[in-house]
Amino acid sequence: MRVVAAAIACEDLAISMGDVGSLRALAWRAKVHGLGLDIVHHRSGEPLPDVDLLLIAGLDESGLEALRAGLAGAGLPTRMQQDGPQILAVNAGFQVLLNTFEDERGRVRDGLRMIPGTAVRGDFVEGVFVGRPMLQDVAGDVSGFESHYGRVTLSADEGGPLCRVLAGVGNGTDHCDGFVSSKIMATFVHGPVLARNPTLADHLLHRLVPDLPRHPPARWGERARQARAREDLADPTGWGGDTYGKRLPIYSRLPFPERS
Amino acid sequence: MLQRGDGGGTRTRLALGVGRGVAALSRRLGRGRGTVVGGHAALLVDPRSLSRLARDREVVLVTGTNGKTTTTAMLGAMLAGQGAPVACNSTGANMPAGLVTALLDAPTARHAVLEVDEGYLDAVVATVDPRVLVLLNLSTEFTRGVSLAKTRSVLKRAISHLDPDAVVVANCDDPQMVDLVAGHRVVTWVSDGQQLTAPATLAGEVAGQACPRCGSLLSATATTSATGSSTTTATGNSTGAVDRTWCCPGCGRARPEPVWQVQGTYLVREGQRAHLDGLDAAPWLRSNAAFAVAAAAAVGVPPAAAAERAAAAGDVDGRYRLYDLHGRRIRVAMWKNPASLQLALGCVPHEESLVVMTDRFGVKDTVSWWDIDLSDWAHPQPVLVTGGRALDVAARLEASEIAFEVVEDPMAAFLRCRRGRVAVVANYPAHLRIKRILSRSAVR
Repeated sequence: MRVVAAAIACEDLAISMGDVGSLRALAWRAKVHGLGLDIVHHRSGEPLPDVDLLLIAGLDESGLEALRAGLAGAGLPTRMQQDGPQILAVNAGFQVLLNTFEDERGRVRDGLRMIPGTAVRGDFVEGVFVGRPMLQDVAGDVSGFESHYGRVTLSADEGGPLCRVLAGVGNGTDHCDGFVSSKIMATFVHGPVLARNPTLADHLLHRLVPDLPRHPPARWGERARQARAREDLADPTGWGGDTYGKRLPIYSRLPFPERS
Repeated sequence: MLQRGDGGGTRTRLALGVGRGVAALSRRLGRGRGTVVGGHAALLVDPRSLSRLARDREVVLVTGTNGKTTTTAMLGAMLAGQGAPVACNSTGANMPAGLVTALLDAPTARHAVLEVDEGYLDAVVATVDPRVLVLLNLSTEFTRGVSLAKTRSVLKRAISHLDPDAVVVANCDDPQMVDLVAGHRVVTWVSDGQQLTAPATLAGEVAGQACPRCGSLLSATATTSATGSSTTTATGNSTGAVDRTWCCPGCGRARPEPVWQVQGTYLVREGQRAHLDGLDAAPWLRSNAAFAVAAAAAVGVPPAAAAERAAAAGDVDGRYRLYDLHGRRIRVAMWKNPASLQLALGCVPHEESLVVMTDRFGVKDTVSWWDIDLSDWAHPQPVLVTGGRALDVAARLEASEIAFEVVEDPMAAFLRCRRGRVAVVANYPAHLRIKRILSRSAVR
């Protein structure tokens, strides 16, 4: 059996948004395709492992600079100038790969210059995302949720946005989300993005192994994807339906009492 | 906004009066249980209501990622067992308005047991000056988008606000907690025997977690304890009599010696054992009870009496209620984050039918399913998947090659189970819906 290797870059920093689930989903789709997926661990401070796919995941926004430093320290930019791995970058991962980004205090920071463009800090966005992918071999819409401050302006000669936005904000500048080139797929969408969209997982597997035979989409994974892409357009808060109202979060905005 | 600094007295009295009035009105109108709205009103009139209400009371605060509500309810029951009234927010209203309402409801209670949301802990500690602070766990912290670092800094500030003689009851199995509490003078360590796995690691592949002090990977050792193994029976919780300790190969930090330790169905302290009885409804109840007994002891409740009262907390907001639906004995385990979901699934007895019910709960409501590790998990019968997010959960089970069946309607899913015991693993809104649709079938 052919085996491909994947890692989460600086996984000690990148645990808060649930994006590790993307690797679980990738392992599942790899198995369906008769591939093995070997998950390698990488922590900040260590050199980058030799893998076929590197997931640069989302994290709390106060960690953007730490993530950039971790990736730079691991030698990612140098590796990409040679024959580096395919990259899936989500949210914070996306922003630090740009030429510049703004940290949580609005200071402009140098990015890793792997995606041509800049990120600035805007209002906080949290809600559902539905987008129409611009990739030929990805059928149907992509869905998930976003939770970020970043607004991205791409200045790409090579590559372009990943999706056109149907619901949500995405890059926030061009009605598009993310970036895709021959080596990099970047997005603001969590979900985890590959779990909610096995179609994207399959696309990445074909990037890793170009002669991989096409398999039919996941049975329940595909039903879930279609249902969510449809429902989320109708219920952008995700609180609708069942029994639960939108009342709960109101109390979290209460002022806190002062000490007498 | 109202102006501040008018001296307090009159305005605070007015605030408390308004708060009580609004809570009573809300209850009379049947607009919910009034666990928050009264406190909200009082805080709007006078932001110092909480401080004023907490004055002259012995306050115990309970916080942590998992187990706050149940531990608080148990502790409330233990103190109430001493005969005096207790102020307690035992249904989980753990933000300032909920705390104020709980105190308004028991104006004469000398003791207050309050569950506090982690995010508010520093401010609440500074405001109410607690006698005891119970810190359940932190390494499983997951609030999406909020980093562990942020929660750590809130807890650290909270501990620094404590009176130096206040008692901290903390989990010594949790390296993050041990690191945070290190500087405080009076600490009672509890080892709860619970194996909560950190979320979002690819468990099974990552051996453990990093030392909060030096970043080295911690090493864990498991020893079978003599006291435990000879006297305990299996409880569905495989960690029964095994004592797991940890230490850091990098900086030498190790688990502090626990004062209280859960061993199987017993709580052990210095060789003395108290049986934790009637706590089979969920795998984490004995852990919650251990912290509650330790905290109760810190305010003078004899441990044996406290341990006996643990089960008196009852079904805690309906969470541990048993339902009977035409011969199916249904028990719900409610999860809120990856650690509790993993634990809830891991503790379903193989002979029971399993229904997984997941309802819509915001945009991130199914992420926990992908955080957990199901590679070693199995259930002998197909899992019945229901609720508003059934398809998402079906996709997750499909990915781990677990046999399942999707039954859209929850009642149909329950009725599809054989007669006998049925385990339901539900998220928060699903738990509320079950409470409603099965309310007529409640046994206890």
